[in-house]
Amino acid sequence: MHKNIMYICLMYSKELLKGTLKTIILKLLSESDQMYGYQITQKVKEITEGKINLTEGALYPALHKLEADGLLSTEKIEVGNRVRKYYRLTQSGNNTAQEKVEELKEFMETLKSIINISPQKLAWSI
Amino acid sequence: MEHLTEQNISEITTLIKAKGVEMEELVHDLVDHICCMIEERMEQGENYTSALDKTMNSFGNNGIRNIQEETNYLLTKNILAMRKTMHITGITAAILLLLGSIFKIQHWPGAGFIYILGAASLCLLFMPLFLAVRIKEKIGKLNVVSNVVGTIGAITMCFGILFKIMYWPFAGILMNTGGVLLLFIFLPLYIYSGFKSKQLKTSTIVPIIVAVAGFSLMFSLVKLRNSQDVTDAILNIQYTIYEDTESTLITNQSILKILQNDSITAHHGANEIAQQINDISEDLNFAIAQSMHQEIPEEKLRETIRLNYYSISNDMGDLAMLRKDERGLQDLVDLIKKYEGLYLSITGVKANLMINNANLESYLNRTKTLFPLGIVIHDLSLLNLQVQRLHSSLLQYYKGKVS
Repeated sequence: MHKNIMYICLMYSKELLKGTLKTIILKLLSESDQMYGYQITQKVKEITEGKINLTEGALYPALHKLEADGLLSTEKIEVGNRVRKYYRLTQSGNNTAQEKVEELKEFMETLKSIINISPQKLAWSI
Repeated sequence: MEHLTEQNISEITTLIKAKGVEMEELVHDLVDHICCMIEERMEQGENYTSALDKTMNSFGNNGIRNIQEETNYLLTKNILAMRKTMHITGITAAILLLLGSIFKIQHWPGAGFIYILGAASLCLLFMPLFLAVRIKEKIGKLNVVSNVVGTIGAITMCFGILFKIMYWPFAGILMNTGGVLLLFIFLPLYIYSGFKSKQLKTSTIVPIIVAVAGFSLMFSLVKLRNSQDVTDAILNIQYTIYEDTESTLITNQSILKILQNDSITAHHGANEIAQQINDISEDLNFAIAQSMHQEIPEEKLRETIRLNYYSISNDMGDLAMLRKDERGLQDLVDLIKKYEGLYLSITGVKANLMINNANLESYLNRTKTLFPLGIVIHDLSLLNLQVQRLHSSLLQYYKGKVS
């Protein structure tokens, strides 16, 4: 039933991106008033200098899920013959964005301490 | 920046839908997204057709459909367990109801129990779960209202049918309430929301047609009774019995008078017994009718038993009142036996009353006490007629002796 969609990214494995996808979206939206899907993908590409390529297959399901959870709201605006859906953070989305970013920061610090273990430290602990 | 034309956009929309994307919101997202991708390629000098081809190809064969599947999965992940339970209870309920109907048709024991179990799991587990799942699917306010009304209507209806099958009271009220809710509130809401979402296509219209047609057929089936001719014929049979009994009683009275004039008053108590049989059978008939129709005043009810007994006969009632110790059906049967014995001893001829003993036996000894009481009324009045006719012949015998 459920097929895993390739989280196509140029440098990182999909497992790495999967856990942080929501945080990335929330963080981006917290920094601008509202964004549409394509804009988000482009923004990610731009900030990471193309190292992370957020695909549609990953982005839209996540956006819809965040909306269903009440973290995002949408607004449809007519743009050049078509409807463009803008996503923005709700109040609770704002709070969650902050929490998630903090959590991720902490996690990255923790990861660093694991990754940066020097041979000496290892020896000490033994 | 050059915008795509309206025609381009409707082409792209069609392409996306053709890939199997049905979620309206997702279609909006994807149309805009793909338009952006195409516009980017066009800005780099490609023409529309080749930009469209390349963009669509970049998704691969199932890429676009998978986006919807992934979205669906994420949105419904937390209600998967609920759905599973819903499916299981639904299948269980359906199997139980099917089994119950087979048992019922075959007159095997336990049909009622299986029915109750099936209806309970349908009404108390499956339907509430179905409603909960629907609401969690974020179907919109109007749809929530129509689904709540629909579910309550269906549950009421279903219990009504169960009550009808089990001969429990209030079946009619439940069925009618459920029917009204479904037909006059749920269905219009359903049609309205179909119109509103512009999805009035086959998948919306067919259920509406099936619902309306099904309801009409079911209601006429439930309300279906014999044709008027048959009803009249049955009414006439009963009426004839009463008329016949009455004229026999009158005849008996006048013979009795003649006998009394000739100072012959000793009939060995036969007259009193015949009178008692008449009284008890009439009392029982009245008690039966009254148990079914407490709302009708006494005088009117006595008239109804005579003229319109069939209006009572289709309803089930409790046989318990026939089984009372004093002046019950057993007393009546005993009195008739006594009368037959007396008749034999007076005239020397066997009475040969053709009494429907099988029915009487069943009224007295059935384990289940529910029965169409109209049939009982019919039996009792016929029985009385037979006895009064017999008594008539006994009085004639006396009269013959006198003259």
